[in-house]
Amino acid sequence: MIKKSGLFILALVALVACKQRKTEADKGMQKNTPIATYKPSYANRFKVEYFKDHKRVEVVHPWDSTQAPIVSILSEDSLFLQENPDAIKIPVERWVSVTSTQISYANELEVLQQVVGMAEPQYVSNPIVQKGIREGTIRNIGSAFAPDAELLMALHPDMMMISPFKEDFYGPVRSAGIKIATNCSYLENTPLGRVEWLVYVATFFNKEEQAKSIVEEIAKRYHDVKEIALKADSKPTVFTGKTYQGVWYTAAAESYNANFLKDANVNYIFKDRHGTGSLSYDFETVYESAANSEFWSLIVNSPETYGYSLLSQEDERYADFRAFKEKNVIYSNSNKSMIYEKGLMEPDVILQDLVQLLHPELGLDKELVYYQKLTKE
Amino acid sequence: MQKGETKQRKRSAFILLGISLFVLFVLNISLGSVYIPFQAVVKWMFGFQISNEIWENILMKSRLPQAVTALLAGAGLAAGGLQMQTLFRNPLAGPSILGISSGAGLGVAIVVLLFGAIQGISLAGLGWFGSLTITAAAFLGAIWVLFMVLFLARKLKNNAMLLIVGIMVGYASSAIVGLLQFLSTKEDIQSFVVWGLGSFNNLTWDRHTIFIPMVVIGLVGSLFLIKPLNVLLLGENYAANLGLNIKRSRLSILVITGLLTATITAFCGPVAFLGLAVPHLSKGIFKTADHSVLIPAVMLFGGALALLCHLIARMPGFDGTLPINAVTSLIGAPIVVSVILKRRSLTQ
Repeated sequence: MIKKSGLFILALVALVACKQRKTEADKGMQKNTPIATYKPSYANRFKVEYFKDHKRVEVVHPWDSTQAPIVSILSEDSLFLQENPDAIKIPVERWVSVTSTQISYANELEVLQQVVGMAEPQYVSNPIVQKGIREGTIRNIGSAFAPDAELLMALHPDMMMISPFKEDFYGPVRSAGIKIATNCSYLENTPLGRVEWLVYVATFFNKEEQAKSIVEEIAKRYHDVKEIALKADSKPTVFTGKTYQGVWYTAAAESYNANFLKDANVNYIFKDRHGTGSLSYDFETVYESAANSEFWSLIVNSPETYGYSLLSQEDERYADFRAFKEKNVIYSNSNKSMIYEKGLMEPDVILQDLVQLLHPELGLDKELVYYQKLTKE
Repeated sequence: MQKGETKQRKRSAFILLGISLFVLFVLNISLGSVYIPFQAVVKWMFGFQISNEIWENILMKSRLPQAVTALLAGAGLAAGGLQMQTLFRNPLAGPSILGISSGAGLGVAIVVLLFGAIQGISLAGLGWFGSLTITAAAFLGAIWVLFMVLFLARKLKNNAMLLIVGIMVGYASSAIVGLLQFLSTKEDIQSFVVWGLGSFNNLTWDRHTIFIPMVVIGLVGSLFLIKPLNVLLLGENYAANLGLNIKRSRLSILVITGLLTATITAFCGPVAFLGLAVPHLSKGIFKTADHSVLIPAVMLFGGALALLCHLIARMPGFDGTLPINAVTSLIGAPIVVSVILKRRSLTQ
């Protein structure tokens, strides 16, 4: 017992020491002012500073913005790398990814060939990654919050990109000398904010210019669709979500999904319930507010084709909503539409679908990609 | 004289319980996160049309099925708990003691967590298919453990052994659940945790077509167990001397409790505490060990307490619902402690 706690304290001291050394090194490097700074236009949670021989990437602390930001130092200068052993060598040639979101960014930047390890590959549909896993060029490192540290050491990647958890599961990986980059894109609450994290990923591969132009193109298309939506002269009422285990989860006013509805120029029934996450209500609260809404927008995950009868089998009370009676339910079947993976980099297409479906009076007639109107009985 | 007085006391206690049950049931229907005027509720209860269709739907399709769920689940768990306490002669026994709720948990874990890991589908989004699968899995898990316990009950003559086996089954299931959780994604773990918190607001009328008959069979079955339970109080040897078929009585007690626990856990999640606390509370009030009094008493008391907890979980002015387990344990624990303290001071 004593032995164990002794070891634990030792590990803790080592960790703290590591942290301190890092911040000191950081201070030393901050002395010279950056040559250039990239401040994102849509994202709020990162920035990149360019120095003579290195880049400094700053990510806002995921849970507490008053705390010190998470800093990564990137450099291709061998002398600098020798002096700063914590810095990440770029362009990254071997890296490990833990989420399918990161794969979507990497796909856009064409840096999937550099992936050598992937956590939970069963959730990734990207064919390049699947092929890599099959052929053994990409190793399965296990679950995202308990990766196989030994395998990671053997893979010896230049960088491992993680998604933040409240609890830091990466202590052992860090102490094994694996350099970690924290990707907080999912905490961004606007569609374009999430897209812009492409630039963050690009800094590790020296592909910022490519990333920026991709982001600008997407933003332009997104704004074009938004302009079209503004031409509609009525704002239909819309509600979202359904119950799960007795609780109705729906988007808070400033959340990612509610921002889509806002940009689609519709009247989301909970638009004054502030927050960036999800709201949980009981059935009657939602029913009272949504019973007479014109549209019902759903994201489902169904192996079969979704329909009204399936919906009312789930909960017979759903049939009492006006949107259900008038067959004005729109849905995305994430099992087929890939709205979470591919949709991340195509918010303009998602918005286009929403505007076309929720504003039929505009007479738009493009091919629907992510959302459909629920027509099946 | 003395006898007549206690009889009178019991009768008034029953009347009081019945009235509180009724009041709590009405309160459950009248109060909720959406304000509906009491007049409208009363009008609706007497079968009159009320002008507001939304209110009518909320009352009929949301609050009434929830109140019925709470009532039946509370009554069933309390009856199961009393039977286990008598059978095992252990005041700490409850309906979960046989490992049946752990079995249900294991069933749900296998479906929720393994489904996610193998298929790459998060059950959280599966909807109808998902929610029915969870119920079915919980029921299968519970029934599987029940059969195992019944099988062992035939081999093991000793009830204490059976008790230990039940607890071991519980440990083994939680270990497997822990392993599955470790291997699963956040979303799936979240849905499993939510299931484990218990809830009375999952059942719509079409689910009730299964739930009500099953629980009613269990409750009526419990009434037939009054005599064997009373005889068992005297000790198994004595009971056998009195001509009770111990084996058969034990088996029927296990089947009835198993059916109640499996059904309620499958539909409401593992609802804690009611099954353990209500028998003690009833014994404290009625001051008897006679099951012809206790069985109906725990049913009424269990139903009333579950309704009270459900009411608190959905406090007006509060948009969401608290997990039912948090409420049952928070309310139940102090009540049980106070009853025990009171009883101790009486005996001294």
